[in-house]
Amino acid sequence: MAIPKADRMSLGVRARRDFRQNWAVYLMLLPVVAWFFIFCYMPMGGIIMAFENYKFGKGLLGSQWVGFKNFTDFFGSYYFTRLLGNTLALSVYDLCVSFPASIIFALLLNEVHNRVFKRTIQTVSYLPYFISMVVVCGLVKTFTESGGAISLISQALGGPPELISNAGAFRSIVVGSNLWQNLGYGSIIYISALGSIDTELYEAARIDGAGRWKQTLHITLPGIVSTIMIMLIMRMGQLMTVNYQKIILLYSPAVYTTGDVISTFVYRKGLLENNYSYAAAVDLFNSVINTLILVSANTLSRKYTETSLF
Amino acid sequence: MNKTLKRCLALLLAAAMLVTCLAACGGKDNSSTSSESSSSQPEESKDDSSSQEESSSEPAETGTGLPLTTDDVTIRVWYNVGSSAGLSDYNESDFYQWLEEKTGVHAEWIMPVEGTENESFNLLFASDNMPDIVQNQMLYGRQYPSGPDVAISDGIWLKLNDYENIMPNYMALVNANPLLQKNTITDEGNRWCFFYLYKGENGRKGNMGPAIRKDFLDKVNMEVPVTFDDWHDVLKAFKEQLNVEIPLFYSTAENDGTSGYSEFMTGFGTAREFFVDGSTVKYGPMEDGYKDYLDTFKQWYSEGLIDQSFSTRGGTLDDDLILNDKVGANASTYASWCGDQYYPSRGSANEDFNLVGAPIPVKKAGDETHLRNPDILTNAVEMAISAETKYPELCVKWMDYQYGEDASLVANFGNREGESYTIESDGTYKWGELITNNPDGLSVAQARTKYTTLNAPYEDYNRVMGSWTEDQLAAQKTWTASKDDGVIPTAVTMSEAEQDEYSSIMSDITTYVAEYTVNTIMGQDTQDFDAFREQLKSMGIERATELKQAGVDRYNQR
Repeated sequence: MAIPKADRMSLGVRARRDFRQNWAVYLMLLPVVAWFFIFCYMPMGGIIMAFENYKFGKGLLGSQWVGFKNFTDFFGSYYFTRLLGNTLALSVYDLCVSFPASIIFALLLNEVHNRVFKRTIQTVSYLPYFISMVVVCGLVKTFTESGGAISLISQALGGPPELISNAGAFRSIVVGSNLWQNLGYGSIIYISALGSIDTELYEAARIDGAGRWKQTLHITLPGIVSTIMIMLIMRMGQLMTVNYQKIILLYSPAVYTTGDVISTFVYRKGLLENNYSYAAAVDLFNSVINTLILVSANTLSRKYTETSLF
Repeated sequence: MNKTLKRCLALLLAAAMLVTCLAACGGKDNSSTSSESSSSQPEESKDDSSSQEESSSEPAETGTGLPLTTDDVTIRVWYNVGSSAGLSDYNESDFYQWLEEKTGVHAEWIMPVEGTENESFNLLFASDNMPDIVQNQMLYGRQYPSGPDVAISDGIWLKLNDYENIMPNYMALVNANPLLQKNTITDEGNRWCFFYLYKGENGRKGNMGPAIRKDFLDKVNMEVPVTFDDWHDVLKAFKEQLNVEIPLFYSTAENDGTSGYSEFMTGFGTAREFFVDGSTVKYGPMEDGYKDYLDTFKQWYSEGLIDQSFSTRGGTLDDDLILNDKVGANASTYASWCGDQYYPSRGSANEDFNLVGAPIPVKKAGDETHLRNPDILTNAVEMAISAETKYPELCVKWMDYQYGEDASLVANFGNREGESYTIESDGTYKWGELITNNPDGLSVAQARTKYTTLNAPYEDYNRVMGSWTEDQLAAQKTWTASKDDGVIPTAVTMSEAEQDEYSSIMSDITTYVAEYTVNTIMGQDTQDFDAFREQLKSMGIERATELKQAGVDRYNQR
């Protein structure tokens, strides 16, 4: 992409010139901006619902104002600590497994020099990402219910006869299937970052007698560390947002002890029990925590690695 | 060259449109004349019998004024038809085509995707675009969250009390039965919807219950089980002698480790939720019997007698399981699934396949039980009319017309004599081959939806039972031999404040009970039953019971 030289021109002129040159890029940006505006900014007015006892008939402005009652109800709820703990546990577990996995996968692919083999592996690993969540969960269920292939293996190794209804196994099922789905797709960004590393550096290193391992450690990793940090910060911002669709499709009361998280609780409260205000309060709480984590991760990163989002 | 080609194409398209327009107009003309001729035809044929002549004079007397409108009116109807119907648009059904022809009202059907019914129902209230007529199903939790009375005061549903004079068909049916009068209004006396009604004084008898494979029983030389001990022995025999993978299929949509209508719980004197003992409201899991229930099922689970996946099946018995002899019994089955015809016709490998109804299990032979799939006067469909509709009177008339004699005949039996129905020598109607043995391979439910309607507003349940085999009738008889007086009528309602308090208490409790029940049966939860009950108390079960009791008391005084 051609970046016009930042001459001493006024912002308006520069913007206009930039737009003329890169109009296609702006066009591609448009749907994303619209998406964020419509689905992320416009509903924000609805936050007011969290402080009300919202009723359809009375509407957003006419419903009874209850202040922080919904929040205190949630904090005092029987399920509060469990929901918070489950959300964090699942999220951190997922982060620890899938985040490094994508990087390692990208590094491994980088070492493969047979183009055909590399392409095949890449394509095969992307495929699961494009399978509909409902189908993926159907597959996961079939494999992990009683009589399913994975359940049978677990049983042979002395595990429980059914994994999907086993509270101890539930997180691993979710994380494992996430890994399968996202490994290839998640590595794309690292692969492209790897491609931008100057090959001369490797040649120089080789002349200096560095083996593959040393090259990875001293050239490849430093080359993509800023990408890694940005990705990590972004992941941290979603720490409290676990993939609720998957959990809703997979869980049952039998695994609520480990599987019930804040977002599934919000789904049940809001969409199934019509307790919109309560659900909005819980979700708002969740978003606030997310924002706090994002900001602190960003600050830490800026301090220690000089990479940051803002 | 290119331009001329485009022009030619445009001209061609325009011409084609004109032709279709003309054809459509012509078609309309034809259909209106044919409807005239068809409406005159029955009169001619009716002339033959004097008894029917009287009925033919009725519509003229009441002056239904058909068609209801001569304007080009479309009303929007939100309606969940269910997956068994196999139709995505009701306008493809014979009945609703007939209805449109008669009333002149075109209905646009808005049908939710399977599995998202409750969500899309709830979202209706959040949108500005409420359909003219909305199907409620209180039994499945689909109703205005604050209750019907508030729905009227909030201006959501039309208060039908003011329209009773233009709904003669419906009111006549309701007024004919005192219990219906009570069940179709709210505590405050509001008439908020058209209930789908069952024909006959006793309505529809219970049609679900436990069923067991008779051919398996014969193989192990045992009788249909009566007590829980019998069940244990039979299931064990299935497991050990016949190597049946799932001796007892046991699952509900909520995956909460209970049986849908408490079939396997009422014998212990408990229930999956609230029930009435005389006029006292009780909560099943708080009863001592719940412990017996849990102990029994924990035992059965550990012995492999109930489905090892009972907590994840979501209430669906897969064809694969039942057709391939992997299931020995089902805790809650439709009567129409029993017998030696139904499953073999769907492709069961086993020619001997025979599923028979088993009585509601009890502790000791002769014990009384109080819960099962209940006998009902109203079907689980309540059609409410939006208060914002542009055509309130038309919607009321359109609904009311469906309860009339002509319409209910077509709704129940279709309008293809000799095909969708036949008239017996005694004058009663019966489904024809088109429904019971469809040449296109449609299931009965699908054929009913296409040629009649799956749930007729005024349903003649005899039409269903008329198509049943001896085994299916026998199954129903077996189940309805036990009582259903513990069931709380769906017409029990609460005030908005009560409803708010009740749901906020019960939401946590339902989750807690489901978890405890499932995990106890699977042996994953070892918490003591008394501690469980204490926890329920601290979560406010006593208050919730009080609220439910107040609702039942008000209902009894209506």
